[in-house]
Amino acid sequence: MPRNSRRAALAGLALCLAVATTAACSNDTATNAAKGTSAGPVQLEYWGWTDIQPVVDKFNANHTDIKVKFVKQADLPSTATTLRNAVAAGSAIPCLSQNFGDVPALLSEGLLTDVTDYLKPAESKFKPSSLSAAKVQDKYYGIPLGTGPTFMMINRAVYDKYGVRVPKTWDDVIAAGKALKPHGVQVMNLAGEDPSTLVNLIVQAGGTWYSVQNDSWKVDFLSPESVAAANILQQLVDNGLVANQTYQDRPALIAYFDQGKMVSLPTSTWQLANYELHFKKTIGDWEPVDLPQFADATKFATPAHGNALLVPKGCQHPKEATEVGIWMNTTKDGIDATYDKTTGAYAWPGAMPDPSPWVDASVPRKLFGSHRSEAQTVINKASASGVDNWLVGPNYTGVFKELQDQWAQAVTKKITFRQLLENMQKFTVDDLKAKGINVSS
Amino acid sequence: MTTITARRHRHDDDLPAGHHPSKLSRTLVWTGLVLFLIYSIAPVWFLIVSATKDQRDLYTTNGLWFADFHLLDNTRDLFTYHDGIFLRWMANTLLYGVAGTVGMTVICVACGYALAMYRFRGRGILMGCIIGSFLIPGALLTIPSFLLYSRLHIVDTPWAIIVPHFFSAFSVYLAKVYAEGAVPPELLEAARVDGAGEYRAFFTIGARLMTTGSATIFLLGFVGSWNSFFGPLVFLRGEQKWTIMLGLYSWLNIKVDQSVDLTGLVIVGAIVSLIPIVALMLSMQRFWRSGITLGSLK
Repeated sequence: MPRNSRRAALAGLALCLAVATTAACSNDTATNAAKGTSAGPVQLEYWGWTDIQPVVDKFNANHTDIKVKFVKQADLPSTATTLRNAVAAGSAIPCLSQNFGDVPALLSEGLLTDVTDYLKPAESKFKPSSLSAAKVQDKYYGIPLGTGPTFMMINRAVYDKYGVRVPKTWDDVIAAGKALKPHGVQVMNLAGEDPSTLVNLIVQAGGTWYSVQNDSWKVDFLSPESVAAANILQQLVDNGLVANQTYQDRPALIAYFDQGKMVSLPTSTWQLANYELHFKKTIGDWEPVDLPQFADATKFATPAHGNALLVPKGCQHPKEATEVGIWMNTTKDGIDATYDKTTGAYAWPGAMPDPSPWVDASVPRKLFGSHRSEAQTVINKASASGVDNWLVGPNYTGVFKELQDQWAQAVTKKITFRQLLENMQKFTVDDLKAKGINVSS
Repeated sequence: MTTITARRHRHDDDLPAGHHPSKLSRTLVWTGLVLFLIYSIAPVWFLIVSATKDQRDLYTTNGLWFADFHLLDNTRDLFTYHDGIFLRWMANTLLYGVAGTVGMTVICVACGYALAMYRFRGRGILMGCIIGSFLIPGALLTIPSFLLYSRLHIVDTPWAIIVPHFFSAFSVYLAKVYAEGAVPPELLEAARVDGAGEYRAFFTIGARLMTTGSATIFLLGFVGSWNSFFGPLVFLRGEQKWTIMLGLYSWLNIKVDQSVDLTGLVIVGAIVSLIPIVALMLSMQRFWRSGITLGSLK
């Protein structure tokens, strides 16, 4: 899956969080009006690189006591830099920021504000599995965004041409890869810079690398879930069943996917419009199918590690910021306002307990050809079966960079995935110790 | 024609007797030049070809040859996307560029002139500091400048881009070197004898003799400011204040995590953003021509 899917999902979630309750909205307005505001409305800034002006306009139109100003940033890295600068300078700090990292890591950098008091009462408006990503040790430092549904799209025309069965498990994917290889077709793509496939497999298996034990962090890269994920990847790589096309070069990637030489693609809703726009030869050949499962899985599961809309440290109005975030992500008005004319889709409502009203719009018209009708079922199922036991440690930003290096070596067969996990275990424990953080081993 | 022939003769005379460039060396030089030409033209060619394609052809057809012609559609999209934000970015870039560079040229030419024409205590140290400051990478100053500007309350205003651009150590150095060559101290001496004050001597004599140098400084400064990216990225928030480069960067990166892909607009935008620079370059050529003549008359 493209490296940024999680990020995108988060972005989408941020947008979506806006939506849950129309009723709640009108109530809010009434209460606010009743309160009466002598000092005028509270002004908040929202920083992000995804254009959410329509959502902000909608919010401002519905609310008299809070006014949000959307300040567009150039992209993810520059939002992160600018926010860090603002917090360091202690001035002009926005009250909401689009997500650019994991909450525990950003918290340990001193970038976030505790909003537990304001979010806790609204917990029930969110999808339960979306909550954990905004929390560190039972305190909230942002507004949960949830995540997009993960499923797979396969080039059904090629599968059928060579008489290969649609994979239901990861072992099926390996078998399909072996059957397709003689025809010069690769079953999946593992980009050299993007370890998210590994992470997603582990999340899907219900595993995690970090956990908290008493007062210290426990790091376990060699859990059964991690080892199972590593085994699958090892077989794909050892048998030469996967391509290593980079996600950095979009034109080359699209051209490659469109040749029919790579036929299965774990994906999420936000990416579909892109494929619809760019595929030329294979448009209509693709079919949305359930994400393959681990052979020994007892229950259908998709990875659903979400993220949070951030409330930065130094925000003057955390209460109002939380209110805005809750509206944006859990009200129908908020989600509806994310409608994109060019793609006809909404930002994925990842934090909404029931995203089904927005599913159909997220499926493009032509990409799936005659299989389009299957998409709704696949997406609803994926969305309902998300698991998230994934916990991120305070040093994950650096750990992820190291993971990228190790991953590049593993997909190019310089090391095994088992070695990757062993190396990461050592790196992570050493790094935590070097930072003076308690680790139990 | 005659001058050219004459020059060629003279050139041949410079070579050792009996020496003619061999066929081999001619071929090598020509090959080298042709390769260099291709190297320089290829990106521009790619840009022009790509600007005529729609988004799908951009990714799925040969990058160096035309597919369906969509240049007009693309240009219209560029100027209408998001209520014509691109025009706004162009205007911003022009404003920051002209204001910043005019100020920079005046200040740096005056500094260079002063360093070249006056003897005063600390002059050597000052010059050393200026040259030494070349060694400091700009990125190193980001956080200090950010803290400074936020104290001055100019972060997120055009001043944060314009004012820092006023001060350029390299331009001061350039102006000093140019002033040493172009302004004869005797002329200033004569002006003083005739009763001109120092300011008058600078504005009516020094600055005018330095026109060519100033034009060079202005052009380099303007190109630098037009292409500058880091300053706007760090100090400006909200796309209404952005410059072209920052805007195009944001468009290019939007596809990383969204379903929108604006690469086609970025390509057309890149071509359009070249036009002012090319126009400026061509229109300012006369300065260098007159500069050369000026030298020859002396």
